[in-house]
Amino acid sequence: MPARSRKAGQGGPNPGHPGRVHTERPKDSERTTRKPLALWDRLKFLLLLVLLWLVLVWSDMANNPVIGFADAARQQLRDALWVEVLIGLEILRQLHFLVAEHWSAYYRLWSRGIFGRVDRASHRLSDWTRFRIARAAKWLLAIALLALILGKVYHTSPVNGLFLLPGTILHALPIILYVMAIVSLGILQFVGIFWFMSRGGVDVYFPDDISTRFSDVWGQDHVLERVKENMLYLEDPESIENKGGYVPGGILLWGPPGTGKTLMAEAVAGETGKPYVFVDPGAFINMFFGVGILKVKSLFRRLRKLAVRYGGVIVFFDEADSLGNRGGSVGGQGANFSPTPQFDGCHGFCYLSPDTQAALFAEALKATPAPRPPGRFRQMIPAGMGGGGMGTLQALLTEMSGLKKPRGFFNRVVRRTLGMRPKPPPKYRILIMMATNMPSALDEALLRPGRLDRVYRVGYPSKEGRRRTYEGYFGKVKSDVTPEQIDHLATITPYATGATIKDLVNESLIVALRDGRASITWTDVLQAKLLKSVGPSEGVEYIERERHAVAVHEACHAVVSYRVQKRNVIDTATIQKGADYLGFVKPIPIEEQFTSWRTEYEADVMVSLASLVGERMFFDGDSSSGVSGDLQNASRIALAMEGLWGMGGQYGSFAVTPAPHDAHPVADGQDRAVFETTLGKRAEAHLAALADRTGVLLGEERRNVLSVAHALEVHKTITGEDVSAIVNGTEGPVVDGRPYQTAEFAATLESYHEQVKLAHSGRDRRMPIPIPVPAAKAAEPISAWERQATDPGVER
Amino acid sequence: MGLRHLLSVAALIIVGLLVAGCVAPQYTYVTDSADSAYFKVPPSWRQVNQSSLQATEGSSSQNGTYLWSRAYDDSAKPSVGNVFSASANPIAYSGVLGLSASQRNDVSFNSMRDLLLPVTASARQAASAAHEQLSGFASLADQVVTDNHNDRGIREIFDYDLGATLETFDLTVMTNSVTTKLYFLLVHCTASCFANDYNQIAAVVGSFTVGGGS
Repeated sequence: MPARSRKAGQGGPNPGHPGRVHTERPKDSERTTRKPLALWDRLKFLLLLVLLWLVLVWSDMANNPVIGFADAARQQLRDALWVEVLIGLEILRQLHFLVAEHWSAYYRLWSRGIFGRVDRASHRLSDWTRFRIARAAKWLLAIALLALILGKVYHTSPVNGLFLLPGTILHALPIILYVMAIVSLGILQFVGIFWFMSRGGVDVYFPDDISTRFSDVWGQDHVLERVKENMLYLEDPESIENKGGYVPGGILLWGPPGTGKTLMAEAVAGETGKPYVFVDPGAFINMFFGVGILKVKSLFRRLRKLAVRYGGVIVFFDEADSLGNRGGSVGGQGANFSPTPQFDGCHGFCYLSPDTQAALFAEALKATPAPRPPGRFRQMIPAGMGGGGMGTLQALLTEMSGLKKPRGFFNRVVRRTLGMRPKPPPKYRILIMMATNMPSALDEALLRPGRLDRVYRVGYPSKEGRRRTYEGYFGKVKSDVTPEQIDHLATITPYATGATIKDLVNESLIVALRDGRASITWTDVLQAKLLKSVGPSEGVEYIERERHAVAVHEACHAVVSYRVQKRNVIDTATIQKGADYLGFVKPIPIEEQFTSWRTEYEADVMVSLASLVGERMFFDGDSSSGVSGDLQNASRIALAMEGLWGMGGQYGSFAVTPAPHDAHPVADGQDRAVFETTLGKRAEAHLAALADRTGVLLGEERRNVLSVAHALEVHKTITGEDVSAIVNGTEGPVVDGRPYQTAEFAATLESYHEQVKLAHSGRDRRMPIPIPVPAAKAAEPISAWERQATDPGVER
Repeated sequence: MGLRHLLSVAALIIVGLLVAGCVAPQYTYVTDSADSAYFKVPPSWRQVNQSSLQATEGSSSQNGTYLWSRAYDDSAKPSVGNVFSASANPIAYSGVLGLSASQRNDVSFNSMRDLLLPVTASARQAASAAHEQLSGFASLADQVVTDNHNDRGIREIFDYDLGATLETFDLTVMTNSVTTKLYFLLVHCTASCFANDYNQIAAVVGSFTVGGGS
């Protein structure tokens, strides 16, 4: 580029074109002459007209084999005068432009003088009047052109041609109708297919069709009250509308499966005096585009009709997540499924200033790869189209908020044509209820007030609700279960839902029937519960000394849990080998609780460490690899207590430090050197202290441990009540604990343990003695469930 | 495009139009699109009044039904009288006859020759037996004509003595391939006129084109 820079340095006007200077293009309003036209713009109409004239000459020649080009051209010059006139006018127009491009006075005369005046004159009329005049002029021009063409076609005057046209149309009417019939046939096929396919999926029930009542819905009283309130407004809308409010039009019931959402909707249908429309979840899954939209429209047409006829209607969309969404996540009033990442602190840190909250929020976003919804909604389906895609959802949204527009051809078109205002639509009393267990899969627009005004969580039933549910289902079968036992059952099944309760009662009945009894006993219930919680055993028998070791291991857990865990009770203890465990002790919370305390975590750690401490104690310092999972739990809790929950010796939280994956700094095992750190050492010290406490406790409870281990060896699976019975010397549902309180039997058990320990250290895999049997009958014969578990010949 | 270019284009178009406009067509083209009959006559030949022509010829003859006919006369006062009598100026008379089934069966080259005036010997004898005042027949040319549409016909040039003067007739008769129509073109004038204007008359007869239609 040296040449260019040299010329630029010389201040030359344009290096590529010396002597030419770029001048700024003036605005059209600043021009004194007309802007020059391009060559094509000058010639295009002339060329078009010349082409037209040539076509006419060609037509002449084609119609007369005698005539030559020269004479045809001459003939057309004489006959096609109108083309020549147009050519002349176009030449005149171009000359006018040409002069205006070179002569500023001429240009000014036309642009400001003549056209300006016409413009000013025409703008005295209103825009609407000018539009109407222009429209009339266009119509007249079109009619005139048509008349000219028709005159030529009919070889008559243009005006006559116009009058001859209707006759021609009438003449051609059969063909026109024939073509229309063919076209209609094609369209009707599609209409027929779509009509046929848009049927189904929607069922209408009238009052008295459904027998479910509110009294059948147990354990969800708080939601039920709200739903009743909605129904009240549906029945008597004036009570709120007269006071300036409006009837809430939509309810979303969301919650875990089996909690009674559909039952509640059925109860609404049973209680109300209005028709009830049930929309099948699969109704909007369609093969063709547009069928879903038709379905939505026909559904709402039916709803409006029912609402007007019966004064209200309830529509229930079951499994509303099948409607899908258009991407994005949801928020919702009342529902705890906010899209924003929340903190695990109390109240989401709302006690902090907004700036601090924002900073913490940003930090949390950096630390966590994806926002994690709280609570039980961690298994969210990703946002995206569900089954109701292809415009169905949009159609539904429009229909839900479009109930207030004037409708109907007569109302909107005929009335307006006659100069009358369209009537507003009647107030359609439509209560829309939806149920889902995946609220995050719903579209955000669906949940806005005005569409679904109220969002209710149908959670796990309260204890009282569970008790009533148990009572309800036990009331339907013959049972000897006492109210106290039902109350206890409600306590030990904290996350039971209506569905699981119904299933448990049914399973209990099956257990009773298998034993040849028609009435359910408490033992049947507990066995059914065991079967439901543990599942059928794999039928694998341990070698005897390993069985004893596993029994001691689980007994240590059970006894420590019984002694130190105050908020939990043991649900089940078993040494039945499962798919990925040798046995387990399963505690359950007595009640739902939302905070955990240091003492509770310490108790948890002690229960976890009990296996290792116990094995060492009972097997002279030896221990098995079966404690790995227990140690992992204990370590994790101890580290979190120290590093996250402020339950150790420091205030700082390790949650603020970057973690490679999840925000939990010790959960993923990435930091192998954690026990070299101060945090790890503190946790280790804490674990050691708790292990000592556990050792002391197990030393005190040695006899109970051996007793529970014996019961486990005999029965394989026992309940928490059995553990309690053994410790307290009472009679449990499976195990009679009274013999374990005798000194003789305790000595027998100690002796048995010593023998097993010797066998454990020796080479002989056989046990020297059988499992001792207490003097009094320890328990009922092996229960039916255990019989089928151990006898492969008995099929369930 | 500069002013110069535009002006030159405009001038070209205007001049072209003017030149073409000043020169009238060299011939008058006579067309029967419905029956596909075409010929041309010099512009000085003017059309004989159509209604008079139709009144004189009637709607049909023994040879067929008139579908279309035109007559052109080179005289200052075109007259239908000149068409059907001796004329000092060239006359062109053309027509299309629709044929019935029986007429179709009777069509032959001889019937074509005798379409307007007796030309064949038998026709002349019949005419004389009927005391028609026709004398001085002399055949000047007789040829069979075909075209690429399978239309066939004859061309006869002959003289007749029509009273005081000798009149020369140039008759072309054609039929279409399916023999549903007869096309004819008769050009006649006195023998001296015919000899003088032969080139013009030959151009008119040569332009006579029929066919394509059924």
